[in-house]
Amino acid sequence: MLIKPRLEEIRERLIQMAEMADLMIEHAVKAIIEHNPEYLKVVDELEPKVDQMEVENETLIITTIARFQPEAKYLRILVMDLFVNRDIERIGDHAENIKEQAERILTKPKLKEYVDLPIMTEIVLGMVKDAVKSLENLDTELARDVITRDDRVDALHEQIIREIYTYMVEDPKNIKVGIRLITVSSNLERVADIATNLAEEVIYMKEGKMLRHQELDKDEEQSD
Amino acid sequence: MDLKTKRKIKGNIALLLSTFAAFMGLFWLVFIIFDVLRHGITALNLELFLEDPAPPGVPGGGLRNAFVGQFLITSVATIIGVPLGILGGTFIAEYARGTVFAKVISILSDIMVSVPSIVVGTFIYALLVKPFGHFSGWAGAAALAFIMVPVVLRTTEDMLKLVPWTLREAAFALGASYFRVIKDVVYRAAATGILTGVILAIARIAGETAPLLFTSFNNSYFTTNMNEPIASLTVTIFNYAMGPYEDWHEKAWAAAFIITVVILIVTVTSRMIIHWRYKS
Amino acid sequence: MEDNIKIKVKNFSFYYAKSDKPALKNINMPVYEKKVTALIGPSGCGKTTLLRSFNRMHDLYYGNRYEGEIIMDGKNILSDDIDLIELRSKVGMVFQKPTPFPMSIFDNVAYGLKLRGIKNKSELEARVEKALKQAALWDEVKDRLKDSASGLSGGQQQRLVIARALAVEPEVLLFDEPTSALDPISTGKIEELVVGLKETVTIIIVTHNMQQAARVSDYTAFMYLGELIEFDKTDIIFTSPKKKLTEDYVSGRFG
Repeated sequence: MLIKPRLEEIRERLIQMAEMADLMIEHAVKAIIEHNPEYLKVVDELEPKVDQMEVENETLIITTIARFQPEAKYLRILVMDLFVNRDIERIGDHAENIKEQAERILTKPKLKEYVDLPIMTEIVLGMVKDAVKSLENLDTELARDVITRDDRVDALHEQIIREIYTYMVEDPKNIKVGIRLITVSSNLERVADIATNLAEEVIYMKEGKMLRHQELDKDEEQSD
Repeated sequence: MDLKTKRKIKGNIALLLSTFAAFMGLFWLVFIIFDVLRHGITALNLELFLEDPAPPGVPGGGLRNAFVGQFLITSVATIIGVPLGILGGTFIAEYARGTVFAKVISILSDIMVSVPSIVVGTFIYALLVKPFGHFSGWAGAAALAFIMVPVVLRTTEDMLKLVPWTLREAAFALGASYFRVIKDVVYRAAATGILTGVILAIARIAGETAPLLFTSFNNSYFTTNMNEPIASLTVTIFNYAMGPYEDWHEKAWAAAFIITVVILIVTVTSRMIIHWRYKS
Repeated sequence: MEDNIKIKVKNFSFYYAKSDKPALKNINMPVYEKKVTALIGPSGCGKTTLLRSFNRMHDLYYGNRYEGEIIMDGKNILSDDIDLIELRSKVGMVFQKPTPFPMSIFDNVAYGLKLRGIKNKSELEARVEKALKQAALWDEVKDRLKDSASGLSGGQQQRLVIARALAVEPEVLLFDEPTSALDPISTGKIEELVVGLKETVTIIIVTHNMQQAARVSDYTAFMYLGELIEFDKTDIIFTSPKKKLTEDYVSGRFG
């Protein structure tokens, strides 16, 4: 099967790209939590690489479709690879956004010992890592698990907003930093959404079921 | 009656006629063999093969000289005729393929094949007997070779032409010279067909009488010297059949039987070779 | 990293015997080393004519004329002082219809070697085994090397023919529509074989099946009416070709 080496190459590249985007998020948030701008250097280094990979991957995927005219499973995989490619690049974009907020946050003293932010980051990074892992072997069980964690992230986001709100009410000088912190949390929440999309794309590749815009339990009902 | 019945009847009539025709052909063949055998059975004994003819009028003796002579003449003719025929056929099918020259040779061969064998005999007489002043085994062999060459040549030509051109190209593409392409690939592919053609040609000349009449003539004595006239089975049958002695007649029948059977065996063998080769 | 050029076709034209009109007009094209180059185009475009020029098969027929140059390893292979037998050692060919010789499997593969005077039994055996392994046929025939080659299936025969060509260790291998006479499964096997072989041999393949060209080749040359219309990486020819004629052909609008 001549198409297989190409598919493997594409998958390798996507996994590599995702690892880079992952690192970007991790370092951007760490800079805020540990109040240390050194970590932001990694984000600047990796950002152009991620963008370049996105362009190269797209060309590779399109030429593979053109040359091998795949059907069924291989077609699903390749088309979804295009979406996965975009999604990972958007994670990188959000990491950029977080970095920009971090630059401004770090000009002021640390607001508090962050508790929820590290927890949220850990969950979000876990979602991204597992979504990518499920891509490696088309592990739909893992993918479904990733999707369930999205609610927790949303809840944490709400919690962070409420807490920051109290700080801002307490002292208006905190507003500048507070708003930026909320923005960071929003970006992380969006990354969790993207990770959910990735997981749904993996499920489509394997099973041909499109889960976008559907509740997970509705899907289970239909499959019975 | 309806169309269906009409068709059935027509079919059955055709079946009947063709079966009858086949039976007719086979019947006469079997009849000939048995009839010849019937007439010659008395003379069919070991002496026929081991002893030379007795003086005319004296019973007994055999046809050893004729068997040996026939064998010698046929062998020499084959040794001359087969290589010439195969090489000639190779030339026009390979090296001169498509040229006018090849076509001319091909047509000439066909003409040679249809020359009456007695004419061949007189031709060789003029060439190899008259100038030397005596009949000889060589002349007889030459006459038979003359008949054999065009047969083998045309068969070889046809068999070689049946070998697909791409087979030759594949050998060329490996770097073979034309000579090796012919030797290693084309000959091997056409081998069965050529062999069959050769065997049938031998069967053909083994039964010829007329060309030997004025060339090898005949000889009542045993000899293996090809420079002398030499006995042959076919001419002997001719002489004995027309002779006055009953004993001679029986021997002629016996000899005829032997020849018929030998040619039959040779022909069947060649068919079996094809069958065996293409089955495996 | 630039690919190396193995063969350069320079201003090459070709005339069949008794013809004033060129069958190939002024072809200029590179063939890259250890890559698969496909020649595609509608019937009569000259792709097979071009292919058969690389090992000078046209020389077999009196009256054919070459013009221009085909340069391999610095030498013009069209010149008169080229030893054709040596050329055909370096440039092997596989034809459309499988053409095993009427001999045993072993003798078929060893034929090219014997032509070159290799007589040593163990050397022959080693090289035959190597070639059959390269052609992915060894496992299927290793116990019946003395059997006649005509007992093999079509796909096996074609692989045998490939092994036969590989035994003399050519630098370039020409394929003339190698799978048109085969069923889809055998076709797939041969395609995988071709892609695998490019690690050791430079390959030029003519195919009228452009999907096959798309799957298998690194570079593609599109020909039409004896001319080279476009030559480029296969990725480009099949996604964004530069000439409209190429695009029409590749998207199935004619041919």
